[in-house]
Amino acid sequence: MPRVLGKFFSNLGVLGWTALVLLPFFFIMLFGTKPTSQIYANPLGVIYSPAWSNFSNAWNAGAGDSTMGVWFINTFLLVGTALVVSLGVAVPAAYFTIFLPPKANRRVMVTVLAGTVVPAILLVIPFFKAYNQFGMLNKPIAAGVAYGVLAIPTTFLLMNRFFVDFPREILEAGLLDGLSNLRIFRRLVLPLSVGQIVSVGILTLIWAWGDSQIAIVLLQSQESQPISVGMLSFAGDFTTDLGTTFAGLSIAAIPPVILYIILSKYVTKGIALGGISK
Amino acid sequence: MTSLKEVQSKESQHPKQGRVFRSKKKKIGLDGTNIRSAKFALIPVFVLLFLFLGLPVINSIQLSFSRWGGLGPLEPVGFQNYTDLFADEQMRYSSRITVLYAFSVAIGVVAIATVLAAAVSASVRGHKIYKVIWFFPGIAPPTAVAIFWSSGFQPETGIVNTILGKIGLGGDHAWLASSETALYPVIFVGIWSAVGFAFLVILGAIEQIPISVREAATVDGANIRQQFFKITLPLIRPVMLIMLTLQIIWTFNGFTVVWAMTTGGPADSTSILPILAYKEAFRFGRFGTAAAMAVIAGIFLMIIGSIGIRLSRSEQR
Repeated sequence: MPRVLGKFFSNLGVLGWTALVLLPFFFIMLFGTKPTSQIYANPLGVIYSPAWSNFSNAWNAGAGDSTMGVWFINTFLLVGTALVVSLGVAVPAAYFTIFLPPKANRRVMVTVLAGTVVPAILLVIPFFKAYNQFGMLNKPIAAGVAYGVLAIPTTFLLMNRFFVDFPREILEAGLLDGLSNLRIFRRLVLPLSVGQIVSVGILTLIWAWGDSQIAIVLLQSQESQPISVGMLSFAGDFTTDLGTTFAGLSIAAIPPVILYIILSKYVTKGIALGGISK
Repeated sequence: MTSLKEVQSKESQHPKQGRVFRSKKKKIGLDGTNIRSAKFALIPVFVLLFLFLGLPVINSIQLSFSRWGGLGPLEPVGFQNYTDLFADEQMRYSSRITVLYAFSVAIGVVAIATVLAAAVSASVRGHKIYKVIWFFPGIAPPTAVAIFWSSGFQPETGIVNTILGKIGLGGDHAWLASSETALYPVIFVGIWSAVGFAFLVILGAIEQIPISVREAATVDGANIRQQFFKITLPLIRPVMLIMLTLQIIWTFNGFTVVWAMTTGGPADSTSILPILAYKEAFRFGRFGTAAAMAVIAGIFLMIIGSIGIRLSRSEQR
């Protein structure tokens, strides 16, 4: 009997947590498509004529050059740059490091590991100071470089752990075929590492897409803001046009979730493989 | 030299193969010339990490001993910023709630994630679906989910209050409007959005426990609860400790959720250190004091981190 009871409670917990996870997304989409008057009159009702204008209102909301469309472009520029920088620099380095003698290898690892623990709070003010000095404020690509570099340590460690277990026979076969080291890396190693690169890249993407701590400092002008910062103009004001606010939340929150559903295999694998680090 | 050692060790395993490689000097080639490539590939890593991590940390420390308003040269003031901060009531309050916030979220996250991982690994149906769904809150932009929740916690109109009202628990809780209670919804959202990641990590650890161990326990007649407390929990404790440490650090640093929910208010009652430092620098233009706050936070985080790593190491032994 206790066994049945335990099963019951664990199932209840699992279902309860699933509901708690999904309901906010449900309500964001429900309210996003609902006329504002209906949200106040009957928030839980699911029968209503959809107000698609909420979405166009949200998309065009904001002043002048600072609309959701602009935020999206800025976020794409920022995240794209971050991915190019972090993967472009860290992946080759992580691969070639496996050939270093143990002592040098350990030194590299310790240095990179130290890079994962520097708290962002220590970085934002010097970042602002330096970016300001070099006229790089309010440039999404320049901010993306900072995000990319901050993602290098994690990318490096996760990729390195993958390359250490890479079958040496394949590398040796390439060498016997007379390929140079660089060609072995490009023609043999990279194509076989796509899965891992995608996994690690998604972790960077999620973080750079959502973070506002660095962007709020480096991208202060309205027309340079990414979604994570621009969305803040929706915060705190829940008295006027709730439908538009929630349509805006849907536009911001749903694309990453859909991308994640498509690529979830890689994400869960990436976390299970490299486990803990951000 | 290592390459040679490797060849020799390989030789002992596969005598013939090893000799072939050595005679052609191919194996040595694989490691030898790659060392040069490794040096080349590592140069940008170290240059960038120095520019974007090393220098800023040095810069922060330097700033913390100066007065700077955002323009012009730094004016050295010695320990002034630090002594000011230690005497400051808001700084003491913020430090306290930052620790409270970080520890509550981290403990909540690890506890819930462990229970969920144990439940799922005990073969609840739809294993894979939960792995995907429970990570949604971690995927969606923190700004968006934080705004959703802060609207939900509004009295009367918020969805949380609406539902509480419907089930008879009252629909007029104005948690976010009172400095007494504003931190609780923030803690809740912090937990809600972070459980998915910790769940995946802890489930990964549970799944690494050999099936034979569990089968042996089942044969010995251990029930689910005994298995959890006597076998699963002790074996995953190192991972739980690391997760707890990291979660404390991440939450301590977490700016976005709190900022989007309360911007530190009302009356700075939810101004955790990152928010206090941000306001100090970018609202009030006191960059020196802000840098000193950041340094104090950084030292605290380093202490937490090293304790956490040491604890989880000693557990593993």
